[in-house]
Amino acid sequence: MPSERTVEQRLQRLEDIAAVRQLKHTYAKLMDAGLCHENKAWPDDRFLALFADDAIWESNVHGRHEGREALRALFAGWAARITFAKHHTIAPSIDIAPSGAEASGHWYTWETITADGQPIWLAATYNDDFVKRDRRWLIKHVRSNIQFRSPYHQGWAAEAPLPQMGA
Amino acid sequence: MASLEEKVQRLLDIQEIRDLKTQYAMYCDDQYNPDGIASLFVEDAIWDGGMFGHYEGRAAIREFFAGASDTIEFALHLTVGDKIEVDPSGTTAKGSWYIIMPATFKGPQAMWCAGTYRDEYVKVDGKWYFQNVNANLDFVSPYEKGWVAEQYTDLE
Repeated sequence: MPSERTVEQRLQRLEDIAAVRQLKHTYAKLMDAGLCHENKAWPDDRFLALFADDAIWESNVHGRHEGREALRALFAGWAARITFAKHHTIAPSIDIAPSGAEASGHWYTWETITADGQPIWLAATYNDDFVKRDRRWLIKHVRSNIQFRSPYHQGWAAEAPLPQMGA
Repeated sequence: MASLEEKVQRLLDIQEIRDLKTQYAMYCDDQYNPDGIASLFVEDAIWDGGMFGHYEGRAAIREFFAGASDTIEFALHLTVGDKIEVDPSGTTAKGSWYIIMPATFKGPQAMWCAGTYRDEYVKVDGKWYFQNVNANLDFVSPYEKGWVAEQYTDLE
């Protein structure tokens, strides 16, 4: 429930929600553009600048990676195998902390991927944290819980379930 | 003319109704958590899912969802393209959504499901709830066959 007293505070919350949504859109768009590009120089500084210096990226499949250089290595590993990706990020639900400097957000993602030349469906949820520094929102912690990562020709019922990451 | 206060409140109401819908989707994807889903509906709510049935009242809706996992082992409710209209009173609203739902039915059988929602919402004590959910499925099709060869699978 909104705890703000003034209309300015309420409007600020709406603007912050919009900014966090746009940040996630930029994350998906720059990642997909980078992975699809023929002459890969990705992850580049523009993409990594979306993250806080001490950001964490983790999933039930990929483990936990902390700090911008660890993220660079993680994403470079994807770039070596993935030639096409579309991250369809869906249904954002964003909470702005009362301080106005931190936020958390939930999304679904439905991904069409070509990895090692094979078409793949990937479905996941994101439970992410964000921080506002110097009036700019940054990604602080990505938690991706991958529900399935399945070859197109088999579908998602043929595969064994993936491990679940703790809350 | 609505005041600035009223305009901002309408935007916040739209945001809270989106969050309500996402919470519903997350409970559905959590093995159709019946208590979670029921907590989002008012006492005299109606849930109508066409081929999946028509249920009146929170208790009947809860009971339906308690058994839903017997048919649908796993589902991802990907709700997209929302259009939400808040009544000038600020206490009721209508929403229209698309859904694409990859699922695994008993078997296990991978399924493609897609449809649209027409919802009605009501605000009680400062919080939004579902008054009516009307889910209209366009196809419920086995993954391997697709939606042309088998638009609606037999649920039996």
